[in-house]
Order: sequence, then C-alpha cells, then structure tokens
Amino acid sequence: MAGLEEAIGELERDREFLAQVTRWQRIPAREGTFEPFPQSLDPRLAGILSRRGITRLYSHQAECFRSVAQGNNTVVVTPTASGKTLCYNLPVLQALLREPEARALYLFPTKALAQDQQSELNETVLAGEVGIHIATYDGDTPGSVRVAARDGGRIIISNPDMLHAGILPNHPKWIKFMSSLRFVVIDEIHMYRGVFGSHMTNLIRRLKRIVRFYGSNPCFICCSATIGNPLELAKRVLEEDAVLVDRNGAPSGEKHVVFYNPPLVDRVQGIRRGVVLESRKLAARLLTRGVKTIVFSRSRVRTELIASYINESLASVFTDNHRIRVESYRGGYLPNERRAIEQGLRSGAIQGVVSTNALELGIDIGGLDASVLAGFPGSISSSWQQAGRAGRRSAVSLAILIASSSPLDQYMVTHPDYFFSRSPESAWVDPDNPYILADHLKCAAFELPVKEGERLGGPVDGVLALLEESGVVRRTEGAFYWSERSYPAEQVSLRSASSENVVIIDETKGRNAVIGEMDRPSAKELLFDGAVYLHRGAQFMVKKLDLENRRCMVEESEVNYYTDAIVKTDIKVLQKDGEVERLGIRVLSGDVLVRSQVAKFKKLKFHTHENVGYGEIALPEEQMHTRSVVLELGEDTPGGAAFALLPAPAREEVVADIGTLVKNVAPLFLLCSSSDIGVSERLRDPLLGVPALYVYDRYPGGTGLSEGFLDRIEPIMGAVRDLVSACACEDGCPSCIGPAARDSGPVEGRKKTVLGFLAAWLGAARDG
Amino acid sequence: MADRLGARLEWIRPRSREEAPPRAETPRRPSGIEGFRPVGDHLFLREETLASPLAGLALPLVLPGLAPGEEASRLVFLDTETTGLSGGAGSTAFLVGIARADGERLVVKQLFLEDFPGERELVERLERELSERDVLVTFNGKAFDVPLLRTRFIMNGRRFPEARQLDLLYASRRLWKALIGPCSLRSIEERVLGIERSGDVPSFLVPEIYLDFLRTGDPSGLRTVFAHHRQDIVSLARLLAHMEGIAAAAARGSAPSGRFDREALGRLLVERGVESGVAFLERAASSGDSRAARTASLIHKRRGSYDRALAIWRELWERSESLFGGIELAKYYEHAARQPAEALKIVERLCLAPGRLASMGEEERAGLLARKARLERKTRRSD
Repeated sequence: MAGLEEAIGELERDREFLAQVTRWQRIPAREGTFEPFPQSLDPRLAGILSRRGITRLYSHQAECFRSVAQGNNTVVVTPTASGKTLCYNLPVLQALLREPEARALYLFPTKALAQDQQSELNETVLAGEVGIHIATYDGDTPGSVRVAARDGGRIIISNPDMLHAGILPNHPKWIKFMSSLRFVVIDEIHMYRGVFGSHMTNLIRRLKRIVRFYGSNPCFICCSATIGNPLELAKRVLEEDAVLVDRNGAPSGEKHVVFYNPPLVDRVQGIRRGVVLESRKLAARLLTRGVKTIVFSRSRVRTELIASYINESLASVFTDNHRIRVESYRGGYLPNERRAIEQGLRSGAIQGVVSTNALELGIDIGGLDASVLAGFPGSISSSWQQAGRAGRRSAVSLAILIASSSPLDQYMVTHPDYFFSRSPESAWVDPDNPYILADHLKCAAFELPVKEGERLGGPVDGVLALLEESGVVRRTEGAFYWSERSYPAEQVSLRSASSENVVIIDETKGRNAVIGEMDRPSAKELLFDGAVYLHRGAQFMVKKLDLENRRCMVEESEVNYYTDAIVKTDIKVLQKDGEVERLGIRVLSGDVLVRSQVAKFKKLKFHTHENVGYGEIALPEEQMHTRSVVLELGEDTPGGAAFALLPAPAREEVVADIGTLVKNVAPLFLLCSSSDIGVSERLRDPLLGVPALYVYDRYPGGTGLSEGFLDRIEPIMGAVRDLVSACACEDGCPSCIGPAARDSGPVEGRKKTVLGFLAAWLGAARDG
Repeated sequence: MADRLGARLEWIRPRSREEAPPRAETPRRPSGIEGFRPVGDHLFLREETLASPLAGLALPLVLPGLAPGEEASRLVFLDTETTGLSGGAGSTAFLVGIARADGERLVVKQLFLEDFPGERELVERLERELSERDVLVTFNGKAFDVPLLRTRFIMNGRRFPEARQLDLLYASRRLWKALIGPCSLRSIEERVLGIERSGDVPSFLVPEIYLDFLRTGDPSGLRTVFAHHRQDIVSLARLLAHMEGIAAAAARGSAPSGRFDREALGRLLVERGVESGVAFLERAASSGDSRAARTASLIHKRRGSYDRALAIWRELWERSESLFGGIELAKYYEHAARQPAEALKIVERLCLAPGRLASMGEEERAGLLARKARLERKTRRSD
C-alpha cells in the first residue's frame, strides 16, 4: 500500500489538516495466530481449501471448529476480515459430508443485503464443489423453486421474517428438513437486540419446539460483531449455554484512526465547514493517490451528494483521475446494481464507494485502504465496524472521522478519550415482554397445540388463559388449540418498519423502467411530488408519488438544487387508560397517536447548500398508534412544585436534559435498544397544561415498554440521578444529560441545575 | 371493519333467534348432530347413498386415465371444509367428504370433527377409507384439499396415502373459461350443470360458523354447512360425469351437446392418448372453428403427417388468407418443399393485405418481415 503510506505521510506533514485533528491514534499491527487444519477435517474440504491457497486456519476458526465438533453451541466474535464464513461453514460442511441426511439452517438478519450475497458466496466458494445443495428461501424465492428447496436443500439460507411467517407455520411441508436439522447458524446476532431481539428469542423458542416435535435437536453457531456482551446476548437469545470464541487469530496491519473537526467558517456563531464538502475533499485526496476508499454517510441523500461531488472533483480531463471510478451504494437500488457494485469493489474495478450503513457489515466487498466516516455513526460499535471496513490482512489502514456540527459529533471529536476508552455498547433482550410473548404464543399454538403446563421459555399458562378468554385459542382435553380462521404470523411483525415498498419508475421519454425502490415512510420524505431524486449520479424529478399503488413516477431532470423535506412530529393522547400518583408526580398511561407530517421542503443548491426556495408537499401524515406514559410535572405535585422552583430560563433545558437521561437509562431497565422507545419533552403540554415528558413505544400497537417504564419508574429515576452525579464529565456528555447544544449559548452549570432539581423532586417524593 | 364483522355475525347467528346465546362457561358437548352418528370420541359420520351420476358411462372412463381393467370404484370424490382458508399448520379440516361410485350407487360419507382432539380419529378413519390405488377427484384439490390433508396426517404422525389426483379445476378452466369466465364450482354448477342452490352459505363464512359452534356448542348453524358440503361432493361427481359424457361422445365420433370449447376438448383427448381426438378437432375445423383447425394441423405437423397438415393450412389460407395458415404454408414451402418462390408469393400477399401489418404484434411483424427479406435473398440467388 505504497499509496496509502504516502498519503498518510502527506497528511502527517499537512499543517492545515493537522490543525483540525483532535486525535491521531495509531493502533499497532498484530501478528496472526494460525493452526494447521484439524486432524479430523474431511479431506474433501481440506482439498478445496488448499486449492484456494488456504493451508492453515486462524486460531479462532480452528477453535470454533473444535467447539462445534464437541457439540457446543458456539458464539464467535468476528471483526471485519477475520474469515467469518469459514467459522461456521467448516464445521457445518464437515458434518453434512459425514451424515448424508443432516441439514442446516442459516439465518441472516436482512434479506436484501447480507443474505443473497452470502448464498452466492457459500455456493461458489465451498459447497458447490462438494455437491451439497444450498438453497435460499425467502420472500423472493419463486414458487417453483420452493418445493425443491424444502425437500432437497441441505443448507437453507433464510431470514427471521421468513422463518416466522413462512417456514414455521407450514412446518409439515418441511418435515424432511425439520427431522434432520443439525445446525442453526445465526449470523450477526448482535443485530438482535431490544424488541427485535426479543422477537428473535421467541422465534428460536418456536423453532426448537417444532424441531423437537420431529425429534431433532440442533446445535447453534452464532456470529457477532464486537459488542459489549456477545456471550450473554447469545445465551439469552438461545436460552441455552454456549461457548464463546473471541480470541481473534486474524492478523491486522497498523491502523490510523484520525478525528477531524472541520474548520470554523464563522467563529462567532460556531459554524463549521459541512461534513459533505469536507469528506468529498478528503476522499478525493485519498483516491487520487491510489487509495481505495469507502465513505460512510448518514443519509441516502448525502450518500448521493458526496459520491457525485467526488466524481466531479475527479472529472478533470487533464489528469488521469477521471479513470478513478467511484460509486454510491445504499438500500433501494436494484439488486443487480448492488451486485455489480459489490463485484466491482472486490475485483478492484471500482476504487471508491460512498455508502450508507448498508455496507457496514455482512457484505463482502474485499479490502479497502481507507474509511471516511462522514459524521459520527451514532454508536461506538458502529464506528468501529465502519472503521474496520478499511484494512486488508496485514496492510496499513486509515480511518478518519469527520465531525458534523451536531452536539453529539462535537462532543466525540473534542473528547476523543471518551470514544477510545468506552467499550462497545451491550445488547439486551426481554423475551418475556408480555406483548411479544403473547404474539408468539399465538403463532406457537397455530403451529402445534400447546399442552397445559408446556413452557415457552418459561411457564405460559397464564398468557394462554388470556388468549383463551379472547377466543383465539380453545382449551380442550389438556391442550390449547388455535381456534381462529386467521394466520397469526401475518399479523405479527418482527420489525417496527413495514416492509411495504414504493417502486420508483423512470418515465423519461416513455421509458417506463423500474430504477429502484424505497420504504413507504421514507418515500414520503424523499419522493414527494417535486422532489429531486438522486440515483447513482443521475438526477430525477418526481412527477407523481402514488402511495395507493405504491409507485413513484420520476423523470430525468437537470436542476441545480436538491430537496430536503421538513418533517414535523407531534404526539396526541387518544385515550387515557389511567393516571396514577407515582414518585411525587402524576403519570398518565394510555394510547397515543404519533404523527409525522412532511408539509414543506427546502430547495438546496448543489455545492453551496444554500437555501434557494421552498415548496409545499401535500401528502397524508404518517401515523403510528401506540402506547405511552406521560410524566406530568403539575405544580400541585411535589415533583412539579420542585420544577416550578427552577428559574424560568432553565426550565426548557432541564426538561430536555431529563428526556436525554431517560433515553440513556431506560433501555438498561427495559432491556430494549434506545431506538425502541421514543422520548418527547414539552415545557407546557397543550393538552395537559403542564410540563410533560412522553415515553412511548416506537412500535405500532405498542410493545409493552412504556408499561414496563411505569413499573420501574422508581429505580429508573434513581439511576438517572446517580448517573448525573457520578458522571465524570465536566458539564454534560452523551452518557448523561447530553452535550450542550451549540445554539443554546454558553450555559454554565447545566449538570448542577439538573442534579438540584432531581434531588428536590426525588427527595420530596420520598418524604411525601 | 366493524361493519364487516357485524355482517358476519348476522350470518352466524341462527336466524330464528334475536339474540346470540350467552357464552357458556364450559361449552356443552352436543348430544348429537342431526343426521350424523358418532364413530369416535369426537368424530361423527353421515352416510348417504344416491344414484350414481356415473352410472351408464362406458368404462374405462376417458378423463381420469384409469388403467384398463380398473374399476370406476377407484374414483374417490374428495372435498374438505376447514377452519381457515390461508393454510398452514393451524388450519384444520373439520369436515371431510368422500364419495365412491359403486355401480348404480354413489356412497357419500361426511366425516365431522366435533372437537380438535378428535383429529387423530379422523386421520385414522381416512387412512382406512383411502388407498394409494385410488384416484382422488377434487376441485382445486391439488392446491388446497390434498396438501391440507397431508399436513393433518403429518401433524398426527401419519403418512397420507399418496393416490393419483384428478383435479377438475384445470380441465374445467380449459373447457369453459372462454365461455363463462372464472371457473368456480359454483359458476360451473349454475352455467354448465344447471344446478341451483338455495340458501347456500358462502364459503368464506364456513370457518367462522364452525368456530362459533366450538364456542357455543350449538350445532344449528352447521346445518347449512353440512348441506353446502354435501352438494359440493355431489357436484363433483356430476361434473365428472358431464365432462366424461362430452368426452366419450367426442371420442365416439358423435356430437356432444352443450356449450364448451371444442378445441380444448380435442386437445384434452389427444393429451389423454385418445386418438379420435384428432378426428374430433378436424370435424370442428371443417365446421369453421379456426382454433381447432390450427391445433389439428400442428398435431399433424409434429407427427410428420405433412399431407394432412397441408390440407388444413391450404383450406385456412384459401378461405380467409389466415395469417397462421399463410405462415405455416410459407414455412413448408421454404424448408420442407424447398420452393422459396412459392413461399415468397404467400409472404408478399400477407404483407400487402391492407391493414394486416399494422394489426400485428411487434415481434410477429418483425418475424414476418425477416422471413420476407430472407426469401427475397434466396429467390435472387436461385435465379
């Protein structure tokens, strides 16, 4: 990597660049640890590997092989480029070669990205040569292929949604597969956190129940990215013991991690150069020096913008730079477009790519030299995963984080120690959440009558009695039978977002060609009539968004601006179930309607990003009917009285800080992920007339998190107070009350104010 | 939503009562089901003997493809009513009808599952009633009834006897779709068989009626379901008899009565290996059915009987300058007879006919023009 070493050297001598660098961390190279092929390895597999130039294994691959051979459920932590697929493919193929009837199920978290990719890989790399039938089984699998996959597939590649709604409810069609299932591989298990993870655990419970019916007892192999608690998470998802393999034997080269804060353009207002232009400049600089670069951007529009800006910078005909190929990559492209880009990256035909987090994990794009993070990705583990995309085996690599002007980014870039000393986030699940459990119990009863006293994770007779009362199951002669005409899995979604997509159709000159797709809520924000839609360097104007028929007609355009919708969200209480006095305040619980409306959009000029006009959007609002609790700080309660004693100018900040704290702390108590709950603060709620804090479920219909919040309000608020008083930061950081917002001006003593209020409130509650 | 539910409840509630019966704490077990006798703890049977619609038809029947010497009693008419229409392990067949022809008689059995735990008895009973040597005659059974029963067998640890299947839906679509549109058993009853049902219950309400019976223990709502189901089985037998009657007449060389697609029937016969199907197609062709003519000619062509195919193409070409006839003739002259000039004459006439090119599909037009260009080349060369 002469190019990269040169580029790094150049940056190290560049004063202007260095002036903006807040940390240049060098992570030393590490030698690989290798082991010879295991003695027992089937000679056919050994042969295939040697033909591919693999003559030994990384120590973690060998360890994983041994562990599985001993029949252990195994969790292997696999950073990027550590040979993940061999960790599970070797032990699985070994067993499948020895036992001609044995079968395996591979589960990948998403259909679109990781999985079809993996199937291709598995097929061509390994199994094709040993004659093991591998079949993908997901929503896109044509009916004609399904029967062959079910009956003949030795390895079935699928996803949780398909297992949930397609495979398990039809298990008798899978009798051959289920009765000889030996392995279940769960890739990217760290994705199964919070509500999604709680669904996954219940799905595994259902799978185990069905395979038991057919007399099999599979071994689980899980792969996890680096998170705080991989073994704990796997044990909770599997509800079985497991062995952890986390000593990575893959070598890695020296890694430079650079934190870069763009220069101020307006010292008075604290405005800095934007992430888009800065990342374009840096990426172009690297690319022209022959450095293969990936840029991670935080939104689809930015991905498109950065890619086309980079291409414009490289377009000069006087140099050879226009030969450098840079592509954008995100969800919503056609599968063959995505495949072509991935292929181009692997083969080296494409030197640069700008991507959303779609390329963070899972997809094989070969090794890149440098990774540019255009904005902090939101979590420590994502940051490391994105940085990890750069780095091939033993070569030097570079990762640059470019901070945006958001408070969180500014905190990270100005407190690099915070970033480098924190371990990656942990993942939690709560499979016994009654909403989720009841949903899966319905599905389980549909799949096989549930005997009285039978357990699903734990005892479930109580939940079954409720289901019986509502008439969906019938208890008769010691068992609960599904007694509804419906197909319950269809009504239970494992994810919060609907999978409904809008198809984008290019009608330029009567072309009528599908060029991409987009999920419905995003379509409202990005594909409204008059929006500029950017797609791999091409520019289109939206003529008509037809939500009813899930189509969007676009036409090629050549305007000098792009568009950005302004989204307004509000919450309305629909039905109040109850109001209780707890902890010295009033807490309302009930149904709420969370509405988000795009009513206007901005036209932003390319390159300068200055606002050149507005437009109106006429689209129905996006609605989510869900469950919420509302913490009311009315003056007639001790907590509210304490709030009223705060100086008026501080009140808004304090409500917001309490909101941030709750968002940081509640997930630990509710065993959810912070994206599962919504928190919204009001200095004066228009309906209730008092300061209020909404904590709501971000799943349509609710998932019981807000009820859980009310149950645990005392320990949660206690932990909130302890967190602020114990936090070592100066005056607010992302772990406690959040960094100070730039536009709030220099507020001194934020922590002291919040702490004072919490002490007064909780003290009054204790005394009262 | 609420409206739909209300309407559904109206259906379910027995008409004679103003109020739905209050839900009993423990639904009482029905002491008996009208017309049925218990044959297990939770299994009831209704048996009925009717005059067989198949009586009088010559054996072996044409359509089911019974092997020579096989009895019509190998035919089992099968139909199920289920707790759900979307399939999956949680949909149960609560009513299974099987009817077997026995000479002059048709013996209809309806097996009724009075509660879920009786399913094993139902499955075991069916296991005794059915044999792998049977032919299961159904309407949409390939996609629905048979997979569902197969699932129910597996759920009870048994293997479904995998008999041959004759799903009348497919043949019905071929014979009647062009005439009556979408083919449901109901529409065929009305428009082909002349059967009228009165007071029949719509299929989509059936699951709800049964589940309501489980909740209340009151079987009165089921009466319409039993009647509906019985009619379905009888209609199956009548439909097969009707189709067989047409097929047999066509095979004999006489003209079958009633409305149906003659080309489809001829093709059906040929597919079943009934040689006289070709003659039937030719008769239809000579009475002006150009689709039948086309099919007959292609059968001849495939078999290498160019003389007979040619006769039909010439007839089509001379009678109406048919595009199909013209092109087939041109192909024949160009490739088989090696007379490109003859072929070119026909192609030129096709291209010249006013409005013809414009009315053709893009691919067809391109094909014709390419053929013309090639023939022009060939004729120049041979000059």
